[in-house]
Amino acid sequence: MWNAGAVAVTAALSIVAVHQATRWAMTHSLDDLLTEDVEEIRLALIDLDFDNNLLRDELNRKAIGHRRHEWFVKLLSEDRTQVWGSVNAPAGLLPESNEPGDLFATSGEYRHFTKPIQDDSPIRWIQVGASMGPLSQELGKIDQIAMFTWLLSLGIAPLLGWLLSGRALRPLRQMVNTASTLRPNRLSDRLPIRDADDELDQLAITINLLLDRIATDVGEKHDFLANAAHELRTPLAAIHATAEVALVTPRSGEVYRDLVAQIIEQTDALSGIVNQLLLLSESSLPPRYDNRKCIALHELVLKSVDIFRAVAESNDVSLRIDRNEKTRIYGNRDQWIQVLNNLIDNAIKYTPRGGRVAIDLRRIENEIEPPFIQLTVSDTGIGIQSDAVHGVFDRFYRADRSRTRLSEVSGTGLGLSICKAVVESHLGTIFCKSQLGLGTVLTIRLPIEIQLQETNETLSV
Amino acid sequence: MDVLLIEDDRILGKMICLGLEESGHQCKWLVEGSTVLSTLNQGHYDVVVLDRMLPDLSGMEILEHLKQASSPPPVLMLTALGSVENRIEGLAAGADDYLVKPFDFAELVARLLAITRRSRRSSPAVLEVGPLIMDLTRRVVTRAGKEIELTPTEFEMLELLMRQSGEVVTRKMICQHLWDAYWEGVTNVVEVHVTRLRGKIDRDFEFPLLHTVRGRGYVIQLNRDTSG
Repeated sequence: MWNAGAVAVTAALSIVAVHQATRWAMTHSLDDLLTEDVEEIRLALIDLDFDNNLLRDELNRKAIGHRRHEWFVKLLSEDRTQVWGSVNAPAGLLPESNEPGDLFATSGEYRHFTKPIQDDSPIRWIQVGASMGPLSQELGKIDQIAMFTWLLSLGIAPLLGWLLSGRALRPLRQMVNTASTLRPNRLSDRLPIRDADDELDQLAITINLLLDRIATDVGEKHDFLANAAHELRTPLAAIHATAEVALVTPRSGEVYRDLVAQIIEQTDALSGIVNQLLLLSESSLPPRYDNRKCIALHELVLKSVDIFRAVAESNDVSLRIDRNEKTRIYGNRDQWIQVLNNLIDNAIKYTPRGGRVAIDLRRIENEIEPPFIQLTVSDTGIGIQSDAVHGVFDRFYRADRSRTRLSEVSGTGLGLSICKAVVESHLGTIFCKSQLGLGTVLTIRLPIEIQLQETNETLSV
Repeated sequence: MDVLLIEDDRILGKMICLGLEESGHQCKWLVEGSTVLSTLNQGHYDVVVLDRMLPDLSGMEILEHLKQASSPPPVLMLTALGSVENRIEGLAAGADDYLVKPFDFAELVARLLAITRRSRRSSPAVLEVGPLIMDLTRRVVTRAGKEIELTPTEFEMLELLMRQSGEVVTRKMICQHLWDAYWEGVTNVVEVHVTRLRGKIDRDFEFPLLHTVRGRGYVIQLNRDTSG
């Protein structure tokens, strides 16, 4: 539509330009002819006396011969009155001033040229003119043809445009059709690649890669939901069984009390899982929905260690802080408490008696990379098999710890994935290094940008 | 304590009412939000327990109406929405406290007592439970005149228990008090600390003061009836 409009306007403009140019060219060539005629008459006047009928007859013959163009000659005296006029010479059309000089003028439908001559004869001006009528007629014909072409282009341009763009848009239409059939539960479809190696193919490849990522993510979410439902089933089953057993036969008050207390313990486990799921969902929210402020990470480390020291001692594990540099970050305090607690809790849990858990918080500056904050929690625990290390951050992951103390070790399997979600929402990275039988090191790195330079903000510890 | 409860869940409402009445309080229970204001005008209530999501009016709307009264009672919001933002929103709207479902009944009672006492709460310099004495200014704990050394964590935990002596303190309340944030870890951190605290304040003495209430939490008091 717009395209057709643009074509119409462009065509109209060029038609106007052609019209003007033609008009100018025709007028110009007429002017040349008139100039030549005047010059010819001037020379004739020099040679022949004006009173000579020969000249008059000659001029009249020429005027009759060019009747169609209404060609005429006028000879004027010094006071600009007509001394002689040829056949067809119209009245008037006299030069307006006495100033000597060539004068071209258009009066009415006439184009005429008046030239003064310096001579002793009574003739002081020669005026030659012709009608513009034939010229206008020709111009009108040209205009008609141009207008016809213009109207034709108005009709043809959109048609051609539609045909051409249809050809160019066909692959895009295929893409749109494929994309419109995509559904969250049918993400296996991909856009066709035409092997044309053009921009459209690149677009299709890019979209296909995006679809791959979305499909992976949706798959993970699906697994996660299924796992979460399974995890909730266990305490639910326990609650149901306890309540049912309590009702089977009449029991003493003491036994009822015990059974009800068991139910409460199971609901605690249930709400623990629910809270961790919520936490996981909250920590993957964009930061602007997050309650972030300036927090002193080193103080949170001290707090966590204080809480877990008793647990470590009762497990005969030494818990120590190797280094705890003053570190302020901009972050969500509750989430970082979870991260520290999860890491320390895990480390203690999987470290046998006599082992050691160490925490190290420092700022690292070197010449290779920008400075960053590094927090490591290392243990001399049972470690993880190398082929399982990459999976530790998966949701509901539990390493096969069956050989050691499984009865004492329990958890939702969400701890490390919560850590990962929190760290990544704070633009950091977390990775795990482990050697079976020797121990595990978990390292968190945070970009220094989120470390607050300004200390005037309220610190919350 | 006269409590006005607005809760649309029949089981939860019934149990909260029953629980409050059995602990010696009065409880008026409404299922709909529309009658709250007229009910408040008809009688005196010390505290309002308000469910955030009601079928007719939202808890936030009721809260706004309530806070326009001449002397509004303190309000505790009850909700299944537990995100940080929801909490901030509720407190910003004028709720005095905010409790996320599911909650321990003991914690509900403790918080209701806390917000009704808030205005006239005084901080004693010394806490006493029988022979156990905690001097808060000198940060010294003695039992029967014998000084007991505690870690800062143990001291804070004992302070919480002694301030609420005779009332059950749940594991969650202890977590909240120690960390100023809950931790849903499965490691029995609280149990470990309680065991150590118990070892220090009870082990070498003739009778225990710190009792475990199965399924509910811990309580510090003299002569506890072991039936729970």
